[in-house]
Amino acid sequence: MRRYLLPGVLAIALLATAGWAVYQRNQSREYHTYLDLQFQRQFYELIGHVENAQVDLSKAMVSGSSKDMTKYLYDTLQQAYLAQEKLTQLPFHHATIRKTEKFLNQLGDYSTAMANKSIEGITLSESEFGTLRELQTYANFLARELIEMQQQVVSGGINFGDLRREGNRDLERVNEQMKNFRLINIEERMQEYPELIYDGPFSEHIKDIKPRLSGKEISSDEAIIAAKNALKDQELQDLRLVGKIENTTIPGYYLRGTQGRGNGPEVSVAVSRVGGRIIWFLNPRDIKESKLEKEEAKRIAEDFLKQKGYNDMVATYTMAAEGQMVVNFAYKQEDIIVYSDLIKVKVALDNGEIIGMEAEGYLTTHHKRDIKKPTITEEAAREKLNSAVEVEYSRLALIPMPGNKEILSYEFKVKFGKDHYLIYIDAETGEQRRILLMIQQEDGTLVI
Amino acid sequence: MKKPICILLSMLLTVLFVFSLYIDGTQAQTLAWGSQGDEVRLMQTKLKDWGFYDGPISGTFGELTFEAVKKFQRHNGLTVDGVVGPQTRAALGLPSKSKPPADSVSRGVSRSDDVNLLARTIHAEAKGEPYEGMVAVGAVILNRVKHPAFPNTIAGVVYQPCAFEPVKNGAINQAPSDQAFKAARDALNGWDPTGGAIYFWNPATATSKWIWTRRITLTIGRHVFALE
Repeated sequence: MRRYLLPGVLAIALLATAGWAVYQRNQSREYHTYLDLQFQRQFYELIGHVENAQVDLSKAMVSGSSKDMTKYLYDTLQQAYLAQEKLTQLPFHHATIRKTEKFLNQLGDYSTAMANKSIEGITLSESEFGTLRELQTYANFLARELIEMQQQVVSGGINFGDLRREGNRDLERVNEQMKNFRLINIEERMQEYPELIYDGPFSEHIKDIKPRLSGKEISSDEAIIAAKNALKDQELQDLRLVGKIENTTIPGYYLRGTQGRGNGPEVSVAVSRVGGRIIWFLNPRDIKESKLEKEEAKRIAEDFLKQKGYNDMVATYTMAAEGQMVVNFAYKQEDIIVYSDLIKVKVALDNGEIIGMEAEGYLTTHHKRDIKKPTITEEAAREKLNSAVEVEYSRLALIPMPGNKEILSYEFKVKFGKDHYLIYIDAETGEQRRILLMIQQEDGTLVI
Repeated sequence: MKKPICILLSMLLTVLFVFSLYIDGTQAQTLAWGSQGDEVRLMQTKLKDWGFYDGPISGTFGELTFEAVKKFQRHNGLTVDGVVGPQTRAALGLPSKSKPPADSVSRGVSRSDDVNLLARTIHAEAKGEPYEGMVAVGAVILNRVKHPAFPNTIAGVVYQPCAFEPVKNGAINQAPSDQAFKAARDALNGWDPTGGAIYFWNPATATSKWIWTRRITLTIGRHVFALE
C-alpha cells in the first residue's frame, strides 16, 4: 500500500496543477478577449467620429449663413476631438500614428478658430475656405482607409490584444505588423497635408518662436561666473557644467553645484547662452516648518527680482504648498500689466530663502511694446459685463491669446455668488475675451 | 468640448491649467439692436410709460426702440450708445435675473488629482534621478498635453497605451515619494528644464532607432530629452 502513496500524491498534484493551468488559461483568454473587444469598440467609435467629422465639415462649407457654418464647425470640432481621443486609447505605437493624431487635433483646432471668426461675423477668406476644403479631403481619405481596415478587424486579421504586447517592444516588428494595417499608408499620406497657420494653440507657427532676449554669446566658463553672481545667496560650491541645452527657444548651459559647505543640497541652474541670464534654477532642499507670513515671502521675492535688475515687475498671484510659496510676477509697462512677460520665484517659508526661479516666459517675450491707447473707456467696458456681477477692481492688461497674439483688455475682478472671477474685455472692440475663475484654497489663491 | 485645450495656452497667463468658465447669464445680458424676448417687451412698456417710446410693444429691439433707448440715456446722463448694459439696465429698473450658482464653484475644482497622477508617473519613471530630472519628466508629460500629436489631458497622456513602461507593468500605482510630489508641483507651476521636450528615454534600455532621430535638447541623469 505504501508504495502507491507517493505516486498517488504526485498524480493528484499533477491533476490539480493541470486543472489550475486550464483555469488560468481560460482566465487569461477571457481577459484577452475582453480587452480586444474594448479596443474593437474604440476602433468602431473612431471610425464613426472620423466619418462624422468629414460630413460635418462638408456641411459647414455648404452652409448658407455664418450662423449655420459656426454650428457645423463646432460639430466638426467635437467629432475630431472624440476621434483623436479614441485613437489615442488604441494600442498603436506613437511613431505609427502621430501624424494622424496631429491631423485630428489640428482639424478640431482649425475648425474652432474658423468658428470663432464666423461667430464674430467675419466671413472666411478664399484661402481659409481652401484650407477647409483640403482638410475635408484628408478627413475623407482617413475615413475611407479606416473603413477598409474595419474589414480586416471583422475578418479577424487584426487582434488589438496582440498589438498591445508588441507595441512597447520593437518598432520594426510593429511596423511589419502594421503593413497589414492601413495605418502606414495613412501616416504617409498625412505627411503631405499643408502646414496650417491660424489663431489656435496647435497652429504651426507657435513652435518657431524667436526669443526677444539679446546680448552677447557667452562660454560655459562665463556661464558659471554669471550663475555664481546671480545666485550669490545660494553660496554654490563646485559649480560645474553638466551639459548644453540645445534646439530650444533659449539655448543655454545646464549647471550643478552644492549649496554651502559639506553636504548641502545639489542646486541645478540653466544659464542662457545669449546674455548669460538665469533661465531657471531649482534648489530641492527639505523645508522645515513654515515661519513666514505670506506677505513677507512675497516681499522677499520682490526684492530678489529687483536685485537681479528686473524692475517694474508686479506680483500677480501666489500659491503656497508644502512649505514653499510660488510668486508669479508680470511686467508692468505704463500701468499696463503684461502677462506674457512672466517670472516665477519660489520662496521657502521656513527661513525666507529663494529656492527657485523660472524666467523662460520673460526671456522669450519681453520687449518694449508699442501699446495703443484703448479705444473704449473703462466705463464702456464695464457696461459689457453681466449686470449681476459686483466689480471689485479693474485695470488695463495685455493678455496672451492663441496664435501668439497679445490684446489690450480691461481686467475686471468681479464677484458672482461666492466666487471671484477675472473677466477680460477687449479694450478695442469691447468683446469679452476670457473669463477666469479664481479658486480660493487654504494654500493660496489660484487663478483657474 | 475642446475647452480643456484652449486652456493650455493660457499657461503663460496663469501657468496653471486654465478653465475658461462661462457665466450663464442669459437673463442679465446686454440688450441691443436685434435682441428679442420678454425682457425687450418689458423695457418697451417702461419706455412707453415714460414717454420715450411710441412704437409697438413687439418684443423686438429695432430702430424705434434703439432711438428710444438713446433718448432715455441722454435724458439720464448715461453713455448714449443705444445699448442696454448694466447701468442703463439699472436706470430702467429692469430686474437682474441672473442668479449665481448655489454653492462655490471653486469647491468643485481640484487640482490635487492632477498633482497626484503626475507625481506617481514621475515616481515610477524617474526614481533615483536628480531632482531636476524628476521635474523634467513631469514637464514632458505636460508638454505632451499641449502638443497636437498627443492626447489632450494628463490622464490621456499618462495612460496612452504603449507610451510609458511603468503604466504597462503597474508601477504607476505605487505611492509617490515626497520629492516626486514636489517635482510634480514644480512642473505644474511651469518649471521646464527640458525646454519643451516631448520625448525622453534611457539610452541604456531604449531599443528604437526612431527615437534617436528626434532633436535632443539635453541629458539629465540617465534620461535623454528631445523635441519632435
